[in-house]
Amino acid sequence: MPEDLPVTLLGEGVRARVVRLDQPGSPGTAHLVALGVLPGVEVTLLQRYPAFVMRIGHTEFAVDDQLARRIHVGR
Amino acid sequence: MIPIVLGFACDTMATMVTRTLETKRERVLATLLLALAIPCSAQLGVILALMAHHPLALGVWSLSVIGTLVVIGALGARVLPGDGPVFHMELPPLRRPRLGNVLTKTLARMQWYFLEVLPLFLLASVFLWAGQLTGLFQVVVRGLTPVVGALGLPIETARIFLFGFFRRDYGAAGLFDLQRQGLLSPIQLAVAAVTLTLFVPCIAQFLMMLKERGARTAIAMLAFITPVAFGAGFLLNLVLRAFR
Repeated sequence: MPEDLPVTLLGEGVRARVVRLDQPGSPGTAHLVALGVLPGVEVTLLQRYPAFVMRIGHTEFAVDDQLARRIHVGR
Repeated sequence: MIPIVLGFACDTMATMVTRTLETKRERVLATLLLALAIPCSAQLGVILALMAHHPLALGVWSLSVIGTLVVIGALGARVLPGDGPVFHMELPPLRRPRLGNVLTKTLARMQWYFLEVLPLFLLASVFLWAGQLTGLFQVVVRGLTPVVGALGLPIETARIFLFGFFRRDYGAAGLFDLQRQGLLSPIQLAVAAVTLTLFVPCIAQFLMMLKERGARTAIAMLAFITPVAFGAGFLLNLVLRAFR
């Protein structure tokens, strides 16, 4: 896996570590942070359609592709 | 999206629910679309019954209303400043509901409805009664007569439009009576149903708009919806008559 790619490119069921978030400080990214999406946490992509469903720890959430693209994962 | 779907049950309730939307832009758009193009269940029922024997009129009505919803929604989204909403939602684990919880919640929601919405309906009835008693309605009906004339509708519909404002379902029921007496042709039926659906919601919904969106926004919406509704009816009448 490359160092840095948007989570939207992962396949379903793939687990990866968040490396950074785009547009830090924007309202949309603030929602991601509120859901627990932070650099360093492990995220599992559960579903890609109709929305991106992810799991972090015991939290599951759905976001649209606009928000999902802001999440970059890597090793 | 959720308030819009709720509007098919009761636009008044749905307008109240728009307060759950995240940005002011979304709340204004949802309120406008609810007021303009979403028929409530009472209205929907009567309109469907009205057009049961005129599938063509029903088709025209559906297309007109859906078309207005899409066009005004798209225009509104462009005109109102601000970014489109992003979607994010935490997904709580789904568990089997407990009967006790369901009952408590239903009860609380009903209480909420009766306390917040019912007084508005009562107020509307008082207006209706006062309007008839003072003769104010007759004056308004006379004012509306040339308008319904321009739509190619019988004069009796002026009264129905006015009453429809106070009780949306009442207006549709009035059309039902006219239809039963054979006073409406299929074209008139379609025109009247479209105008009535688009035209300002019942007064309870308008009062809720005042309460939720503030006087300025609510009155601006009223000022926008009235010409749009009658304009749509007018155009539809011309188009249908040209193609007959």
